[in-house]
Order: sequence, then C-alpha cells, then structure tokens
Amino acid sequence: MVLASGTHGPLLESGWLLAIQVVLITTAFLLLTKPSQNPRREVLLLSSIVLFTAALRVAMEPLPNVQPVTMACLVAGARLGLRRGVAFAIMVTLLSNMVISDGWWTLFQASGWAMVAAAGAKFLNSEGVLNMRNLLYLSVVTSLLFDWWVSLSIIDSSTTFSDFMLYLANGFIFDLLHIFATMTFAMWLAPALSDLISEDATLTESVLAVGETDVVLG
Amino acid sequence: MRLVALTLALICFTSLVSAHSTVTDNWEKDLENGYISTAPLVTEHLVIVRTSGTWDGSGSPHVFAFDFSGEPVWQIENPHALHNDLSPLLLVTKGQGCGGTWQDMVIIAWADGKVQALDVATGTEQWSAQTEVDTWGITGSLALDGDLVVVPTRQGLSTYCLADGTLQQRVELNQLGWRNGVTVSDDAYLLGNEEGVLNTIYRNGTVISESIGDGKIRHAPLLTNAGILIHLQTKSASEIFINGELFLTAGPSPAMPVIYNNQVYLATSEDFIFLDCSLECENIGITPFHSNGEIAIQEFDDGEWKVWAPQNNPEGGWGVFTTTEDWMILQSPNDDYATAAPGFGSNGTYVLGNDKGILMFYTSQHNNSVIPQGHEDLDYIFIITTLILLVSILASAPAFIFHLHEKLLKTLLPGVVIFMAFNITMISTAWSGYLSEQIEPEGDWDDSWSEEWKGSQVVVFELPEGQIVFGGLSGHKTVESLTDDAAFRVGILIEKETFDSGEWIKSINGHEGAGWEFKIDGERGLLGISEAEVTSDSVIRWYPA
Repeated sequence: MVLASGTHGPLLESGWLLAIQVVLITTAFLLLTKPSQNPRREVLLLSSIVLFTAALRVAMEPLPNVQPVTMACLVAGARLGLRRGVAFAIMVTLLSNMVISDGWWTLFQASGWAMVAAAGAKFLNSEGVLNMRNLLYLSVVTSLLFDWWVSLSIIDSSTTFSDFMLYLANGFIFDLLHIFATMTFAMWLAPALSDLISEDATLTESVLAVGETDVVLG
Repeated sequence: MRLVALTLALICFTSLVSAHSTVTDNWEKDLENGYISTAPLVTEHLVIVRTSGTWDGSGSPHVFAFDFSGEPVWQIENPHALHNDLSPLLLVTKGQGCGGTWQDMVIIAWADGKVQALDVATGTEQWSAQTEVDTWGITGSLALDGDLVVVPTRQGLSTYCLADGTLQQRVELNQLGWRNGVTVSDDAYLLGNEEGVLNTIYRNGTVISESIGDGKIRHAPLLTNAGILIHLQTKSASEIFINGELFLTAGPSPAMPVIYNNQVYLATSEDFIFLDCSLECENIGITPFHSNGEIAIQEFDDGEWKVWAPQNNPEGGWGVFTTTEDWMILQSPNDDYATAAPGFGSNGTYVLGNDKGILMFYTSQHNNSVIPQGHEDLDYIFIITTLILLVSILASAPAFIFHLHEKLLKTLLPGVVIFMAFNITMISTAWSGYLSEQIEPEGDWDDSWSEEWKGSQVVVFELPEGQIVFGGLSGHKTVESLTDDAAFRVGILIEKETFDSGEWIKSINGHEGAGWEFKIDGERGLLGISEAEVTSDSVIRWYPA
C-alpha cells in the first residue's frame, strides 16, 4: 500500500521534516542508551544489520511493496528485544528513506515497523528459538496492519471515511504482495538472520563470562 | 526562323519553370491558428487546408492555400466563426448546370453557418449562403449531387446550385447535428444526428426518420451492398448497425468510417476495424489502434490502396493499414493528437496536419519514420514471470503431496511474489476496475456548464487564480491523456514527474504548491494518472493537495 501509486501524502516543509527526523533519532538514541556490558560489539552488530536491511530495502525498492524490513523487524524484535528492536526499525527506516524518499510518511513507516518489531519481541521470543509458524502468522498480520497504518499518512482535510476505505480497498493487491513477500523473506532469510544475531549474542555472552572471571580473579 | 527559335526557347523555358514548380522539397508550416481537424486538399497546384481556431478563442479559423513549394497563395479568415470548424473542405471541378457555369471551386462550410464557394486558384468568393445556427452551425461533411452541393446544417439540410449558390431545397429536421455528414444516394440524402436518428430525405422533400439507437451519429452514413452502415457513438462504447440491425459492438468515440471497393474501415479509441461488405458485411479483422477522426484512402496506380487513420493520442502519427496483419505507424517530426486524415496528391505526395496546427508536405521520396505493426508486442515480462510461477507451482507439488508445508511455502512463495511484483500494474488496475464497477460514482456535473458537454469528457482545473473548465472532449481512456488534451487546448502548462509508480503531476500552470490531486466523477483518484481510467463522460477535477 505504501508504494501504491495514486496520491501523495502531504508534503512537508524542510523544518517539519527535520523535526520528524530529530524526534525519531532521539527516540532511537534513548532506546539504545541502556547500560550494556559490551557496547562496542553491540553497536557493531546493530549497525551491520541496520545497514544490511536498509540496503536490502533500497535494492528491493523497484518492486512495489516488497518490504524485507518487515521480516527483519520481526526477527530483530525477537532476537534483540523490544528496545533494540524498535530502535532497529527506526534506524532502518530513516536510513533507507534518505535514499528512497523522505516525508510525512517516514513517521508512519518508522512507527509502523517499530510496532512490528514490538510484535516480534512479544510473540516470537520464546526460549531463544525462532518459532517459524508464529513468524509466518505474524508476517501476514503485521504486513497488513503495517500497510493500513502507513496509509493513514494520506489523510488530509478533504479525505472522507469512504475515500479512505476505498483507498485501502484499492491497495489490497499491494497488501497481498507485501504479505507474500514478507512470508518469502521469513522462509528464506529469517532463520539465517536469526542465527546471525543469536551467534553474535552467544559470542558476546562468552566474552562477558571471561571478563567476569577476570574480575573475580582480580 | 528567329521567331521559331525564340518560340521554342520560350516553350523550353516555360516547361522548365513549370517542371521546377512541380518538383518540390518537403516543407512544413505552423499555421498558428488552432487545430487542423480535417484533411488538407491537394489540387493540381495547391494545398488547401483549414484551421479550426483555438478553443480558448485566441486564434480565429482560417483557410490557407499554399503552392507545392510551401509559398502562400491565398488565405481567408472567418473572424465570426465559432469553434469546432471542422467540416471537410469540398473540392468542385468546373462544370455547368443549375444556375449556370462554375470554375474549379473549394466549398467551405463554417461553424457560424456560412457556406462559401471560393475560386480555387485565387480564393475569390464566388458565392455564399447562410444556414441556421444553434450554438454552432455546420460541422458535417458536404456532398455533391450533380450540379448541387448538399449541406448538412445544424438542424436540417440545404442544397444549393453550384454555379451561384441559389437555394434549391431546404428541409428542417427535429434533431441537432454535430459532424453530421451527409450521404447522397440514388433517390435521397442520408443524414444522422445527435439523437441517433437516421433521416432519409427524398428529393421531393419527404423525410423518413428511423431511430437507430441510443447514441449519436457523427459521420456520413455509408452505403454498402448489405445496406446502410451507421457507426453509432454510445455513452461508453459504440455500435455498428447495418440497415438498422446491430452488427457489432466496438470501442468508444468512433471515427468517421469510409468505404472503398466494398471494404469498410472503421475506428474507435480502441480498435481499427475491417469489414468486407462485398455481399453481406463480414468482420474480417480488428487491430488495436486509437483513432477518432477522419479515415482516408490512398489509391495507387496499380489498383492497390492503403488506409490512413490519424492516431488521436499524445504519441500521434498516422496508422497506415494494408491488412489487419500488415500495417505501420507513420511518424512525423511534429507528432501530437491528430484527427485529420492526410491529403493525397499525384506522384505519391501527401500532406499531414495535426492538432498542433502544423501542416506537413511530403513528396513520395521522403521517408518518414515508420514503426511496422501487425502483431502485438509480446509481453516478455509477463511470459517469463508466468513461467517462473508455473515452475514454482510444479516444484512445490511434491511438498504438497507429502504435506511438507514449510517446503511447499518455500518453493511456491518466491514464484508468487515474482509474478505479482512484476505484473502489479496489470493486476492492480484490473482490481481497481472491478472495484470501480461496484461503486456508483456520485458525479461531478455542474449545471452551469454547457449542455453540449453532457455525455462528453470534462476537465476542471481549480487554479489559485480561478477555475478553468474545458469539456466536449472524447476518446480518452486515462486521466493523463484527458488532462493533457484539456490543458493543451486551454493553454495550461502541465509539469510532470516520473516515479517508479508512474507519472505524477508536479505543477499546473506553474503552481506547484503541496502537490495536485484529482477526482474522477467526484471520487478521489487512487491510481496514477496513466493508469486511472476514465469513461466517455467522466469529469476530472484537479485541485491542490
């Protein structure tokens, strides 16, 4: 839906755009300023998956509403937890929109994917194993809800309820494509991404264990 | 002896000059007086063309005559003529009969109801007559009936002596006409109108009216071996009738059909149609093509012929048809919307005119660029993605049989996504079309607009300086095409931006603001301008976001 052709969301003056970006960056920063035992490694991990996901989104941009970010947010939420998952979603949105197109809709996309990450953290984070069945269910639900949420960005003073419903109905094919694409990414990429994050987390834990021993010994 | 030599030298010189005047180069003229909506005439020495004036009233209708080197010979202007000056010029060769004798003439019918006969060589008026006006006057094609010219007027028919313009017959009719060309049969004149009624007017004044259907007859009826052929323009399509019986349903905004050697050629905004009416009429082929104006036949010395039809869309050009399988689009350097058929001269010369008001003269040696047609371009993306989808379905079949759900999805989903992603425009357009059919639009008609615009396509621009409305358009299938046409006709500049999702309007008449949105019949547009479809009576409203 978000890339469905038809009408622009309201265009913003550069001041407002800057304000939105400041709000989003501040939110991401606050979410990440949690005490960490290995901040350097964590920053490296987060940066690399943010860059990878943003690059993937930009690469997939010619395909309308094929959004690898939705799957990545679900996995990131599940593996990194709520705070880092949401921060991940915001950073990916900001970064990729710098290349694709920035506007009022950035706020809706960032918050939409943040909610997707939150859903991943809530429903997929069971016993450290990625539940594929739940991931697929969530792919369907979150893709659809994300599209509807982002569609709110087109509402202005002239939009009636029936206009909006018609807009949603017209975008259904794009919603369907988003759902199928997210499921595909979930089937093919999610396990690898999940393992990558988990592996890194395990390494972090083992490094931490050595450190603690050192402290005990000291 | 010297006298003989001088005479011979003079003859040689004269023939050289004469030869020089017939061997010409190609040339073009921007007539700057509106659109060329009807075919230029090519006489032995001249090209004669009419312009219609502009829709915003900034140009007045003219008739120009040029020699074959492009030099102006004469021109006339009718500052009183109304818009829509598109009645074809009628060439009359010299003769005698009713009223005396006449020279080679060109007869011009104007939208202010005036009929004017001019001497071809000089443009001098030989006679003129006035017919009735109801909003406008004459817009249909005239015809010759022996020593008479038959004029389809706004609400009737008049015949005049060719020699002096004396009125010979006048018949009042009940219906108004628009492009209501007349056909002369052995015993009567055939004339259609805006109410879908075919009037048969006998020379004794008897009129027989027959309702063909719920639509408009905007061409001269055709006499075929199978009967009278009418291409009726209906609200959102068209219907071809033969002797009052529905023969074929076709696309919207029909062109003016022609018959040649029992072959009938018709066109609409969607198709070019070939009928063989040697005995009964038979549909022998339909080719996708967009033409709403005149169709013309180019004859060759060997008895063969080609059919030309102007392409009435922004790409412009002329379709040149030999058969349904063998045709091409001829492009000119000035392509734009076009409704005028070409004019053909001897030795293969041809003259083109379009909505830009540009007249182009070409000799047979000149090769305009052509795009061969005859078979539809294969949609390779569709074919390849369909194959990928089929392969993924086949590959997932074992997983389906053995209930391996994960493997099934893993194999099937990529095929589905690839197919949908690469064909999303086609799928979403079909889906939106389906939705549109389910929803009755509330309409956006304003009662203050001209009644003549009812049933036609109308565009409204809500500009900061005020509202500009233009109606009476037809034949457009998308918002983009309709908007471009209306903007062109009212002189509004449209600036577009191209995105992956299609073209968007960036500014209208320099006003960019926060963007532009459109409504179709009161409903907000939900597709891109090149995908959003319009009907034959849609109202498009552009307003600032």
